[in-house]
Amino acid sequence: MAEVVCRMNAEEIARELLARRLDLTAYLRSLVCNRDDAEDLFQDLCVKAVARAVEFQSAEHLRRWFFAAGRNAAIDAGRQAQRHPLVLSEAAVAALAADEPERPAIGWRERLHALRRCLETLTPRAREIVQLRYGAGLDGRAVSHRSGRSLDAVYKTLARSYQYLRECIRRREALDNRLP
Amino acid sequence: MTNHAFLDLCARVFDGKASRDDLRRWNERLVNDPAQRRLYRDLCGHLVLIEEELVGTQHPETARPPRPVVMARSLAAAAAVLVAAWAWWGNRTPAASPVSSDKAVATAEDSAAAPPSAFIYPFDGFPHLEAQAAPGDPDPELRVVALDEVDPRIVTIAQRLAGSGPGDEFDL
Repeated sequence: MAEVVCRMNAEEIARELLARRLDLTAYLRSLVCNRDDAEDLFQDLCVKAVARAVEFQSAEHLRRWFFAAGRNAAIDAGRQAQRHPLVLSEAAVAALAADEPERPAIGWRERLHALRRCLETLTPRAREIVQLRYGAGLDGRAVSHRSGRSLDAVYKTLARSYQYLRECIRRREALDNRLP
Repeated sequence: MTNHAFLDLCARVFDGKASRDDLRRWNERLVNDPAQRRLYRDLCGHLVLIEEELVGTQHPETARPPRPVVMARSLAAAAAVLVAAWAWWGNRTPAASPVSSDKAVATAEDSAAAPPSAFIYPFDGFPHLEAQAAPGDPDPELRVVALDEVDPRIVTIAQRLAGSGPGDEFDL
């Protein structure tokens, strides 16, 4: 008897990719180090995935294809940008892509909620710098100018804020997981 | 290298301010230290969340310019655009603060691809999206108006999912 193979259609693929947009964009961002490049790459891969719809047998199959295609695209982009100093080496991209991405314990809506609560607990000075750097998209020098702090102090504040937010979100995730 | 020093270096790298020597050290950490590689991946995940939360809530003086978008070239493509946009909308958290956009307009050039009614159908009953077509118009224009706030990045993705090409007629 012939085996029946299920295939995803274009709409199922679009829904799956859009539902996982933040997780997939985070993965791509780790490979290209840049928000806009990661979003462009996400869009390109979405288009390619929909175009190859008949090949995907499951959401997991699609996910694995996406990670492999993202790694290849990031390496290609690095090679094409040879006039500029490469940020991530090919070895680093390969190492990052080789790690199986962790499946978050809670969904992105819950993580976003946790982040929102954690951002509220940053000191006003740190929050201002995070807002200027990642909300307004200013570079470090512009943040330094606008906030009246040295460039070095801006980077140190960002590093401290990352560490704080990471721990804060983890605590909140652990707390949410304990709730019924 | 401590985690704090590594994160400080990440901030400089993301800003394009790391020296060649710093970049080399940074790459070495990513290749050879699984713990800092994980820290970096966490950082990237959190930055995506931070931007999702903060972009669009900043003061207008520092608002980011809109990113380039593409246009839908056929009725069928435009329909797929908004089906995908609707799929996204259904997954969006109501408490988030999306980028404000009063209106999204798609102009379809290929009126022969499908009758306007075929396009309107996917939005029937959806509160946030509305299709406006002009049946019998000799130069048909299809206007799709988003009645609520829509994140333009998602509309851009949806357009590209629909197979549309580059252009400037999709006005967010």
